[in-house]
Amino acid sequence: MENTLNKPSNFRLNTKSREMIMDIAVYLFIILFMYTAASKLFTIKSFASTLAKSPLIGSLNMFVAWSIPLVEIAISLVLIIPKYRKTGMRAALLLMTIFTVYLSYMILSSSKLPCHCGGVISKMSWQQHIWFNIGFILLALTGLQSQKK
Amino acid sequence: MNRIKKAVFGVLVAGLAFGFSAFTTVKRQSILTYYKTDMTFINANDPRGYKYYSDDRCESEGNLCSANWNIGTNPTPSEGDALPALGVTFIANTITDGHFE
Repeated sequence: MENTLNKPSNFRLNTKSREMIMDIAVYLFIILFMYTAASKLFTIKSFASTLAKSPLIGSLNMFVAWSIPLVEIAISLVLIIPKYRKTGMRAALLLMTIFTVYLSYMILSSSKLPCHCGGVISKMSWQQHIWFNIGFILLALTGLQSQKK
Repeated sequence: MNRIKKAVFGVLVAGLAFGFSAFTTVKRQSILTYYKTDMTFINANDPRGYKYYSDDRCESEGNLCSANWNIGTNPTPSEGDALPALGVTFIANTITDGHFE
């Protein structure tokens, strides 16, 4: 019994499977970031006015409203280049973590939550947004883990 | 898949996602969000009491802040314009909770 528990796991994915996991994660992040960046850019005024209501952003709303979609597009472009996709995945993980921490802070601290953000994903409630983001954080972690030698 | 194929496929995926987003955003031009500014008319599907604002004017607390309306062939509204009484269709399940402020 003890021997069985201490035995190192024989379950190792081959290179092809690990590459496939990373590919799927990369393409899903590209779809997410390009889709949401475009929807924010096409409704930039509405997006900026929503951000203006956030106590953490306030008067920086225009800067943040332009920065978020541009950063999303930049990360997508980095993810497209195979040589840099690990870096891109780390950046995507960081961005999703920042979004999730921000959403959690807003839910826990704010009594007046801005009503919506933009895009089809905006149909989700803030709580659903957090679960959605956690899913993508796990996806990024899985992708990065699959690349470990 | 070699590196060039991966990059080409990545560009394709990015372009499609961006294009799809643009397509869905532009397609919704005749469907606009109007704010219930006058609660004398409490029914959400009553076109009276609605005004158009491009920015988010909802605050929490309350059960009717805004709803989407298809304005059909009516002209695109300016800030503060009332919802036209004719040629408009209420879009179900688009009511935003809260109140206008």
